[in-house]
Amino acid sequence: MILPLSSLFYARISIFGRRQKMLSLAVWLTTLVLETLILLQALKGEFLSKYILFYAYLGSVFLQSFFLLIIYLVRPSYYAPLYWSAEFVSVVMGWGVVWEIYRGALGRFPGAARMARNVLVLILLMVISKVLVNTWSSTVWQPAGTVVELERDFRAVQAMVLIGLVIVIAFYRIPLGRNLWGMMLGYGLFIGTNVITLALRALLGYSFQTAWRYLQPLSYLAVLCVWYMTLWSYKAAPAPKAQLQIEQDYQFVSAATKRGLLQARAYLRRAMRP
Amino acid sequence: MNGALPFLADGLVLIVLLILLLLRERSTDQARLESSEGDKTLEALRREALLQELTDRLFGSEDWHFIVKQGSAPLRRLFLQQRTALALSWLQTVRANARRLMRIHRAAVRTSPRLEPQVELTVAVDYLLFEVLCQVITLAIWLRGPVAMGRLVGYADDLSARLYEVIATRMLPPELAYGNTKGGPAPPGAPRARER
Repeated sequence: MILPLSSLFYARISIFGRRQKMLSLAVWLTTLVLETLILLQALKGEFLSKYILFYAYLGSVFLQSFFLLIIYLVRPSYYAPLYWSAEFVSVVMGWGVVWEIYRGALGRFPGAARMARNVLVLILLMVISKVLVNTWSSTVWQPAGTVVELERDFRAVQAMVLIGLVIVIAFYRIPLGRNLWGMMLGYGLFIGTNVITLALRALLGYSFQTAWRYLQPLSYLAVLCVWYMTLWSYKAAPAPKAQLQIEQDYQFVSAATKRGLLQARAYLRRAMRP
Repeated sequence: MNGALPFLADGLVLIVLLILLLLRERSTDQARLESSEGDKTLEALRREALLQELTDRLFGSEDWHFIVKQGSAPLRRLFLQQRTALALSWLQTVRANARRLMRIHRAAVRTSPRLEPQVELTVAVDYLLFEVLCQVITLAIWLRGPVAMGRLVGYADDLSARLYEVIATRMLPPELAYGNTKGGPAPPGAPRARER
């Protein structure tokens, strides 16, 4: 399943023009420099342990990139299969970033966290149902046609989970702080562009290869710039201010709100009758 | 192509949501917003109370009858134009107040470990319907004009009062809740709501 694509990929790399190769290497080296700077800054500022899962992800991507760069320059024939293996490690490590965002943003808001958990369970149930329905309707077990489709599927699940998180954060107006904001914005943009480019790559096939080869690293470069700016120093999420006198009984408050809204709507409906 | 569409939509929705959230964060200072939420509501309700005195006049037919008696078509047109603008502005204020009250509700429940997702979903849907109905009223004002909207606006007024009664009196500090304060600000349309 991987071989045809790998050989195509390698063939493409081997006929890479000198100029494109230089540009590609320049982007590659810039991402390595930015990753190093972000990691060093976190070490220097002693906040690496505050977002350990995020920095573990970034560290693993850095090591992979560095290793793949050497392979690309020394043994290009191994590059393509190793690239895809590294991508799947990155997908798995990416869940750590999602968890970091969830934990950092909603840890101080148990109500919103509970809502987010329910939304995420619902999303995962939808995904599992979709997979089961596809399996049931097809005679042969085929999770994805190519390695590109497989990565697209995994990234799409992450994108859906992030959408759920973003909606909960926006709805309950959760204050994030600069670091978490940067993490969420950067990773969200990365996953979003990844899903789109992988979907187009799977749809259009080899004709999208050239565009894809530039879009992927450039979008990641933009994400690194976001992280570089927002994770330069430690900026914790602001604590919630308890300035309002709130009814302790949630059931009472929510029931009253619900009843009021229903009554209000009924008023409007009655008013709309001729 | 059909197979790729859900994925394209998935990625696009995520990017658009993040950009919208970023724009909202840039336009509002969250901390300042939260710390002054109660004050803002009080301020808004004071404004609303003042507006309430004008509401009956704004949507009533007395002024319209007076203008009609003058027998000038340009005057009638100008009157309707100005009244429509005022009516839309009034409806915007009512909606803004309701939005603020819902924000207080969300700020209250987000820290509650006993939050019920089902209940929250129902509240959100109810509020969404309220917003849709307000949009319908806006459209009706555009189409029929404010003078013919007296009855409808009366109900919208009651709606605002109901929202205030249910949410604000239970969540705002006592000094901000009109029911607990002598001479405090009355919610829009509160007297009429009690009369019913």
